[in-house]
Amino acid sequence: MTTFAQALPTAPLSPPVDGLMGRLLTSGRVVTGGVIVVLIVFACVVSLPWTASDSSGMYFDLQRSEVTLMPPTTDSFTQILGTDRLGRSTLARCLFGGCISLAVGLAAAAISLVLGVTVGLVAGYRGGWTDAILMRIVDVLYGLPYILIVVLLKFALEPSVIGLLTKYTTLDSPSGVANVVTMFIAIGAVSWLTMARVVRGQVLSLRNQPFIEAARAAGLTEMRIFLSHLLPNLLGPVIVYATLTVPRAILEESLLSFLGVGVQPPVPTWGALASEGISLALNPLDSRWWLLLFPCLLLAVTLLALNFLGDGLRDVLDPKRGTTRI
Amino acid sequence: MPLATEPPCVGSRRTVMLKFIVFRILQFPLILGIIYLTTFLLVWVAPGDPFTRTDRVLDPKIIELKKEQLHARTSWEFLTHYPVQIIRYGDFGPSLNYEEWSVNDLIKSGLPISATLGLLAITIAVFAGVTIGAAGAAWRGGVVDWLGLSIALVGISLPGFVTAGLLVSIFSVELKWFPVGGWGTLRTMVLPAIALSLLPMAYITRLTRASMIDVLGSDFIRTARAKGLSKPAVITKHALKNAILPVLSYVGPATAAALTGSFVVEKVFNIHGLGQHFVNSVLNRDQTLVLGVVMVYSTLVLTMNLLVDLSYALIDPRIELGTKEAA
Repeated sequence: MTTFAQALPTAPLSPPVDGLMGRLLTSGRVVTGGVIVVLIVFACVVSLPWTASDSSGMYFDLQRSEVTLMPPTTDSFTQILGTDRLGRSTLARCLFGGCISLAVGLAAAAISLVLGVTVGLVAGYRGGWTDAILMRIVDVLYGLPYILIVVLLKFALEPSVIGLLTKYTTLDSPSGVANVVTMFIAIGAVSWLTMARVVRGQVLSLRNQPFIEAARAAGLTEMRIFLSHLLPNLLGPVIVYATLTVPRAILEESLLSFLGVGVQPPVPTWGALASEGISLALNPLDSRWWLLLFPCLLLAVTLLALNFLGDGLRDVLDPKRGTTRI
Repeated sequence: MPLATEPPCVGSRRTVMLKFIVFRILQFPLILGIIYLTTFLLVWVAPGDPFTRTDRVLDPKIIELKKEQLHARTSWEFLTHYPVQIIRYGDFGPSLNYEEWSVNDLIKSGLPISATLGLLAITIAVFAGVTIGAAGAAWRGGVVDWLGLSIALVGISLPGFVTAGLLVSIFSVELKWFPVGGWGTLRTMVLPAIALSLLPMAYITRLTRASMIDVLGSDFIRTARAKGLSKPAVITKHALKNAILPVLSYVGPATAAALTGSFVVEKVFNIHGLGQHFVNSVLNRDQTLVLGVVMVYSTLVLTMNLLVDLSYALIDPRIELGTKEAA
């Protein structure tokens, strides 16, 4: 028999929280997701001086033929997550690969911030022909399979990026850097479409509201209306979708790596490590499970944390939009 | 600046709907044309063609002969003769890389496989996702709810090739329930379809759960329970119908994605579907095959979008056709 008192929520009601910062800090999703993301980013970035310098023992491409395919052991720090078939430390490769994977995600988010927000703002605010043309471009790019755009853009851009790098910088391996840079651009080129649609929808609902009309009546320039009246109102959804772009781009890069057109070896990413490791790890006779488990674990935890963070931010910053909680 | 205002609705709903369908179908060729142009530009800008390869260097004379034999076109002809040939005869010509095959043959052999795989995957995703999501919402915190959450976590956070590989090693290698790869009998289709359905299943489960929780809190559900209907009956007869709309808006794009995005699963299970052809054609710069597959894909995506918009209008009469604001 359920009594009335039992049916009531047992947890004490939390006091109302004032201010944006307070609401962010009391949202479990934002805090959990944010803390995990920060920890992983911190680990990857702080280890960068060691994993990226070829004189240290933690160099991501340091090959030691005497320790190939060693399972994880606590005896030596570099082998704590095992080694791959060239005797390279899985730990070093996971950390360095994390930097590349996260950078791909960040680059995609940055491009979708700049391009997506601009296109969405202009299309939504101007309306008419500008809107029609811009949105048809977005539609066409949506209609094309993304792998076509990414792969062909990558092939098209790579030579010119190599040329630019050799001309203006003094890098040892311009082709390796160019490969990563074109990956950023190619994945970024398909990541801004959702952002453009979201921002346009938001602007369409904002532009007919009295405060924009008042600003226009007061004789403000279009630029001023954009920057100081429309943009602040768009900030919530923009931050949310930028956060959600990061995990999507990381996942897309991992699929490209699996198809052999992602970031080229020896530079690792989590996706490349997972696709390198999968055949060795799933070998039923002699499983090298660590080559699949650790990159996948890092990838999965990061993606989950980023999705958590994005969903949490949406609840706080954009409460009107329906949530698709994962 | 004059602001656009919606014209008042004239005519009955049926004529509005008919107008909408005709307008959208008339737009088809235009959008397909733009997609053709964009694809051509992308292929054309990217350096290389199937004849200049890194693994073996061919004599220029042989390349010349091959080009002639395969009716390889100059970029100008891709804009003039080739589209005419496609429209008049529905013929994409020979593939530049698979020399024995024509593009039409490759599409004919690959499309049924990819379409079967994609539709199977979406069917599984919808049925399993809606069931698990609805049951999870009805009995929150129960076993089914946790199952839904774990599917969502796996589907969202692991790349497709990892989940597909894990499925193979568990169900084919260890348990020997299903074959490791290939395509043909129903038994070969089970694992690839499940692997492809995980991601949409994850989204559908969570979407159904969220909207179901909303609906279950409303008054008419309480009334139905109060008049003595059992919980399962209330869920299937009353709540589900109202909770399904957000799922529907996701199923359209998800179907398109499953039909066009099966290349990873096809590669893991060694299935020669359209996705494999597409990826290989892009990598080999097989211009005719790329154009052929992209046109097929785009037609599928466009049709799917039209069907979704129409089904919206049929399910929810409040939705106005022709206005796609705040999508």
